[in-house]
Amino acid sequence: MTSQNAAGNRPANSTITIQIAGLDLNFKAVSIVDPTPTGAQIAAAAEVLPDNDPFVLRFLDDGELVPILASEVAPIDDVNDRFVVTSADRAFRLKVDGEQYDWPAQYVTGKTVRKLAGIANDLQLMLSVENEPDTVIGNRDLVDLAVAGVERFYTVHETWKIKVQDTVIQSDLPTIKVRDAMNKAGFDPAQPWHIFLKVAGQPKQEVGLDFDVDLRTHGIEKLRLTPRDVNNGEAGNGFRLLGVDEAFLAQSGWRWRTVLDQGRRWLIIDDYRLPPGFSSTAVAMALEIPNTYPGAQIDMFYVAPVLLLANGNRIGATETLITIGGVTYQRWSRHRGQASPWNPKIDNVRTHLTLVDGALSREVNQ
Amino acid sequence: MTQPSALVIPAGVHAGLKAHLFPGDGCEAAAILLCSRSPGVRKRLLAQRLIPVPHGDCATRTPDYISWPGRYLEDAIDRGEDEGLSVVLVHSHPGGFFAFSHVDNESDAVTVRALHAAYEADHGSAIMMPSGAIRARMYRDGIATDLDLVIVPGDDILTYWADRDENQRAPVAFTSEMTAQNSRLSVLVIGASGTGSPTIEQLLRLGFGRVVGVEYDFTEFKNLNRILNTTIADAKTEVPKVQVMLRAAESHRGQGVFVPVERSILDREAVLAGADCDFILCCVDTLEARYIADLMGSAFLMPIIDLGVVIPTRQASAKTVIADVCGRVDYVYPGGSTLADRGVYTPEALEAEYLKLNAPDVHREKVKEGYIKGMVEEAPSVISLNMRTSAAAVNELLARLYPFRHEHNSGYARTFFSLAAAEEDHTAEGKFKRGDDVELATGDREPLLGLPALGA
Repeated sequence: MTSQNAAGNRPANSTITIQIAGLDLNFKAVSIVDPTPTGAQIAAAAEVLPDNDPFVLRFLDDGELVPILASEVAPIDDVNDRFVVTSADRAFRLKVDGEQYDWPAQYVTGKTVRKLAGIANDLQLMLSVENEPDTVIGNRDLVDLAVAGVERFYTVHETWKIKVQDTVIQSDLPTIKVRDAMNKAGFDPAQPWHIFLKVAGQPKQEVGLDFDVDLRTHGIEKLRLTPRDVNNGEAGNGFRLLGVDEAFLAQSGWRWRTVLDQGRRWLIIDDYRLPPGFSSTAVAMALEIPNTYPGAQIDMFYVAPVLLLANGNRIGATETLITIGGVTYQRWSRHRGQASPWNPKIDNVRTHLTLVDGALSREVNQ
Repeated sequence: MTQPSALVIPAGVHAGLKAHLFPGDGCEAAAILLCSRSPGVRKRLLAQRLIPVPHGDCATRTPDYISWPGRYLEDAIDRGEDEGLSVVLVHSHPGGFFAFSHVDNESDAVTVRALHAAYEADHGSAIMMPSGAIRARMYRDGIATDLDLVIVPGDDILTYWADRDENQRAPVAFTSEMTAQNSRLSVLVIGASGTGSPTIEQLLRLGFGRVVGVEYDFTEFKNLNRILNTTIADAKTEVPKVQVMLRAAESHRGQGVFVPVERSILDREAVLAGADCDFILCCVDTLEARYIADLMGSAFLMPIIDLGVVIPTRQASAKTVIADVCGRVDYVYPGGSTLADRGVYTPEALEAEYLKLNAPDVHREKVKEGYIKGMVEEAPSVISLNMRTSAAAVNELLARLYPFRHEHNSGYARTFFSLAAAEEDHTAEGKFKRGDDVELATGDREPLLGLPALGA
């Protein structure tokens, strides 16, 4: 290809400057007294000449390498045009997804391999090197085909993964905003969180909602969330719940915590909204979680403050009061019927809360 | 002493494998096992899923050669990669050649390497004989190492050792060969009190190679009437029960056989120590411990023998009289009916027991209010009943490993005896309703056993 468009503002018949590198790939500015140099002239201008058959490759901005024959005029657009001078004494062989290709130079870029093999944009190019971890090859990455054992490229579908708390999310892009990652994992970014980015072997880094996480970071592990408001040092750290429970609670928007109190184990949800018709619009909701949960059932539920109906009437089977962490809770003796016994494989905090909501609604939907 | 490395295959998977690998035409056939890992220190691979390679898809099948399409490898890789499951390629040797041939070696050199290239886990290959015997080997850095043991826990517990021939018959029960094989097997005993101590004593005297005892409690004077090997001095200084067991074990078996774990089985470390064993003997009086044993049995493919004793009483004209004197032994194998299926515990009973142990006042009140059905109190049992039940439990383990019954073992999923009625009843495995949602061989998945309380 020859280019007649006068990009840039070079006066004709004058010296031009281009970037040339030899096999060391150190690009240096080199002047050539010819605005339309041929491959041979560029090779001659290179400070390091290979022993045999110099061979010139034009290094385009997107990473593609274009061979320039000795007699061919190189298109020059700009002082930053880059050329690699290598040797054409033999062809190098490379494989992409098992297909074999020959390339006339010692170096090749990711972009050129893509062009050679016609790789779709949504696939990622990988290089497999013996005795080393496989690496991702970007468009502008140069691969030295003379290194022993370098030849096998393959493609993989590009999806990037990261854990948010204990939920793995996938992204089609190599970077993702913390906010989007949280949304994908079902966490409400509007809730006040401390967010930490954890990378293997590095101290955790606190990040903001608009921080761009580079999912290509080596050893990237997870985004960890801690609620900003820790009440009495007991936010969610008294004991663990099932993964499905924690994910459900995280995306519910409630403030919740697990509390150990005199040998009993409680999940407490603040500001649990009630249907209209009670003496309060919201309560603190407590569920007792046995240590053998989910094998053991969750039974009944407890609210603070004590509820009456809005008309002042008492509610049946709620007479027993207990204290959790010094706060008085009202026990609602509501149990599963024989028809729907607890099933450890299916039942959890979420399914129990549907029974809780049913029990609350029944009192006010007379 | 290092423990034998093992591949554990549930009886159902083993039966499916045998049916597929020996279709009756005398030609080789192939299948793939996806295996998880037991979470302890010992190498125990747990067969979680069977992927048969359809006979019709194989390019070649002869009596001594098979060639099958690699896309089934990809299938295995797709299914196993997320959890890092080990892929074991199994094929049959219809001629009964109980060793890997040079063709097997050359084939592994390519396929196992491809597996390691896909993702890093212990991958390997195995061969099956017409008898059902299996030899398996795993690769690390291109070097194959035979697994010492392939064990199939079902109605009978089948053991195939790499250093024995292909017609492996179980040793005859109650012989020195039995004792020799016991020395290569290990048992977890949960509880070291009334029924646990005679159980530990028997297992040690029977020559089992490793006995892990899990018990958090210490010796008291009230224990002296029923815990073997306890002394007045132990009660005075409140010596932990497992330390009493250790002292006794070392006095006749030497060091390194009994492993004391001074914890509750509801403790992560105790579960991890137990996960290295082959069998569980559950000698406890709580439902929560039986629940953990049940979960371990399914997750780590360990047969369980659960025992219980009870002496119900009744009031007759203002006098307490014995209603019965009973013992129960349940044998549970992975893939069969569980203790939960058999109603040994329920979600309601577990919750009631949690209250009883952690909030006794509330428990009493709930019983009074009728929210909790009165539980059968396990009365303080007596040594003669304990020992009878413990002996029945240990004989049950031997009967499964070294079959000696006149009738098939499947008839004895539960043994219940009444000393008052002088009766012994047996319930067959088939009589129990099987829950179909038990997931087997979950292995080292976290949280351990799916219990948040056991999470790392």
